[in-house]
Amino acid sequence: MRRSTPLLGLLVTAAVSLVTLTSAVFFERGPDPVVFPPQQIPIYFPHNYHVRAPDEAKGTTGEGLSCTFCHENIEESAKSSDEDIPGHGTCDTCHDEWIGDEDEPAPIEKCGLCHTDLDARKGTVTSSVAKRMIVPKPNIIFPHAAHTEAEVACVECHDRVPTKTVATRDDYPTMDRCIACHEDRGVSTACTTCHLQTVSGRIQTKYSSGELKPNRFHLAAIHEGDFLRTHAVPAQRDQKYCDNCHTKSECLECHDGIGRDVRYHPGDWISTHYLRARKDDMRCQSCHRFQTFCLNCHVRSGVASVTTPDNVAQRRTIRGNGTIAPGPHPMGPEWTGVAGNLGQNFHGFHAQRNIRACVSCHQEQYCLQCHTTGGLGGNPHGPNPQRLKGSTASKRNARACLKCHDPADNSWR
Amino acid sequence: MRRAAGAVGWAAFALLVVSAPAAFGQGVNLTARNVYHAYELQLDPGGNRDRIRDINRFYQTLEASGWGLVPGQRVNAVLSMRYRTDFGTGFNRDTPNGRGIPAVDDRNDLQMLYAYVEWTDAFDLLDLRLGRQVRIDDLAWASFDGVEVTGHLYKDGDDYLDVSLFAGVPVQIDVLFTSETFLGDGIEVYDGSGFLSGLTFGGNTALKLMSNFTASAAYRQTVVFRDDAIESFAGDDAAAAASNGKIGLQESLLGASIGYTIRPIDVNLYGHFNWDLLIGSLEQARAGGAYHPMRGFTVRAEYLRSRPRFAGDSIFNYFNLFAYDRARTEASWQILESLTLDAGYFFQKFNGGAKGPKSVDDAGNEGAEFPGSDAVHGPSAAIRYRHPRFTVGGSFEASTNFGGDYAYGGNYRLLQLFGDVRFLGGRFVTDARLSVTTFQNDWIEDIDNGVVDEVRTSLIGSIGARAQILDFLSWRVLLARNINSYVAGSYRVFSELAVRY
Repeated sequence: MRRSTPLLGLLVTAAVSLVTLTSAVFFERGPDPVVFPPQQIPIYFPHNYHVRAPDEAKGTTGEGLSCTFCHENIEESAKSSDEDIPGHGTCDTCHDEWIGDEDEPAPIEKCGLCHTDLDARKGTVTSSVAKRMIVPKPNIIFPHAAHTEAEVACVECHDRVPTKTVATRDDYPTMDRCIACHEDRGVSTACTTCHLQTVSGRIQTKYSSGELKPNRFHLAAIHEGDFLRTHAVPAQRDQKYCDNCHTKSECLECHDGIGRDVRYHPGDWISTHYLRARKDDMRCQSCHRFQTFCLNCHVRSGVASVTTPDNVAQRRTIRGNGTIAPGPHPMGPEWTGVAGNLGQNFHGFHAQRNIRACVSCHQEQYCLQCHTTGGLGGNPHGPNPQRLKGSTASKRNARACLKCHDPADNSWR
Repeated sequence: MRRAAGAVGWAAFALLVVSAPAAFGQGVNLTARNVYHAYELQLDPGGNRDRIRDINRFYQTLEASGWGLVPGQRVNAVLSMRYRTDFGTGFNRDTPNGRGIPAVDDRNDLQMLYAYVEWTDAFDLLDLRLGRQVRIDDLAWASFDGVEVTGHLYKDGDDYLDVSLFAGVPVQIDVLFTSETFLGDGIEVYDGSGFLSGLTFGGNTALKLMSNFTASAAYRQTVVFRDDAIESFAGDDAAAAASNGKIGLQESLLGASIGYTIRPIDVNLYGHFNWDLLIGSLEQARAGGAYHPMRGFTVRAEYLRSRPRFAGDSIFNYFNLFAYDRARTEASWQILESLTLDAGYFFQKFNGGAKGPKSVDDAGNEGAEFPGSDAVHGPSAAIRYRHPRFTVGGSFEASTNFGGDYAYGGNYRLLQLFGDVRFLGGRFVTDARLSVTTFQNDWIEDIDNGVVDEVRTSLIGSIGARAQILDFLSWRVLLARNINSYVAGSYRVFSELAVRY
């Protein structure tokens, strides 16, 4: 058999992790694109110049305008969809020679001073019509008016704008900042204070811009990477958190075991599922019930029989090789360790390590044939059967004991 | 007849659930799914027709939810039902022994998954829920018919302290989300009598402090009322009599978890365990952490210990079983909005007694030790590029050995290539997937003599489509064919028509 190189695998994993960790520090991103979808802003506008006050001592220039000089209606805005992006009418206050009027519009080279696609300095201008600005409606509840009333300064949310040229969606606040401010001011931090909700009172998560998922603030339940595998932990620990977005029926749609999602069942699942089930059976259990589900298919496909070890007529292994005895594991004496009195006992080795694999085919009766008291199979209780005497199980549900032990015999009690 | 009457009854209830809030102008959700999932398995490629098995599963689910049944109050009602049948060859847990494989499956089940009325935030203090319901807490989930009361003892911003208590009749066998979903019970006969076949009760408490610290604990106990009609007692009247009429402790569990988010360094840590009080052993323990410094980048690591748990009346509880240990780490990085990379690695160790024992027969021959390994490990990686019009990607994973031995459970290496194309603004999507798996079983004859299984290769291709026909109506279909495998020539068809209103 070819030897693997685990050390190489570990080194590669470590190297990739190091590179990504280092890179992460340098590539922080703006707010969620689902909440604030990507925009198209073909405009040149130096916020920094307009906001900055001129200072002769420092040799800096600027206009020292307030935000509301241009965004004149923002303090009365009640909806996040209110753009209040200044139009020609506002800019005309200072730059009338760049715009002109209806009768005498400014020459196209003036348009290029703001509209980047009409800027002849950048190349050939092929159109006299400027590209449209596209600012999709944010998928969030945000009344500027309420924040103005609470005396929240613009820069508390848009802190980088005074130093930038064009302001974009990247200059909207992230949720961390919203939550911190709400907590400081004693304002509700309930999800639906800001997020849109469905008729059930839960957060609306589906938008044309994508699916809303927990962000960095909700670190315990980040829906990234292999969250499909790890979501059980936050779901069990804080069900209320999941309930903010999900109904139980959403759990059901995956966990009902009928969809056979390719994320969980990749490749030739029928032929290879046993390799995975024997290693990571807990994953199977989250949708399929041992042993109903396993036995159902294993019997109908002939992998298992449900009666006795001798009833091999029912068993037709999928291996289909005439030279191999029927069955999904070695069927000879080395497996049971009975014939020839050789205690190889391979099946015991596997039962100790992963009995779930056994019960995917065998019912209790199968084991009882040998392991009942006085049977060929010996004592299955392990090196210290005394530990079971007096256990809650034996005191409060002795039925399992009675399957092997004589009810008149008190020695096992 | 009883089933038909039951269906009519539930349909009427569903109508009531939907119409009542509608009358008050409140919210209604209706979800219906029709799933057809069929296989034709060629168990002996090229061989006789006797080795072809048809599995033709058909499921229908209907969920109706009404929100805000009482104006000004959060009173809701939810009903979920499932019907399932199978047109293919059949075998069910109650198929009589010795019957062989029936030509047609007999299953024809109409099930109620849950149906409850709830009043949340009643008096700003309580949540009340009555009916068939699913609980999720530190002990995973359990389904029961009964009542649950949750008291909100403390609430301040994100912080809270809740205590829940519940009691009812456990929902058993074959219904999803029963606790038994998680029990490899080893026996399928259930002889509780009538509706009141048992009792389940317990509760949990959940605490969140400083927005970053969570702690919770849960307890559940289930008892069943016994009859004497189980197969293991056939012919043993004394044992049957000793069991008859008893109240048996079916499960007794304690679970707890703790978590803390260290916000300044973007790290989340957690731990969780379940203790099986019936046997007095750890059933499951997890501990892990995640690092998430920015959107699109996550690193996780987790350790898990798992020991199988069985229903209280299973003999497997008394076997000499050992837990296994599994550790996994992964990193996911969305380099660009359109490009994502994933990498992972796992290591797993199975524990148990000696691989022998080597014993000597009458002729002096010494038995062999099982030559397989107790360990297995493997890397995984994936890359996905998502353009507004299409997606392409590939993934690889392996589960392999550390040396000359077999990995526990055998070896495999899986490579997948996949892609999809979106039309009509994403309302119609076609996809295709090609998977290649090489694998070696470790359970083969003569393994004790050093025989190693040959490397087998499996190839499977699939094509599919998804369509959002209307905003509330979707359909998806998939066709897969095994090209080269144990079951070469086999087909799989999956179709789902769903209404989500």
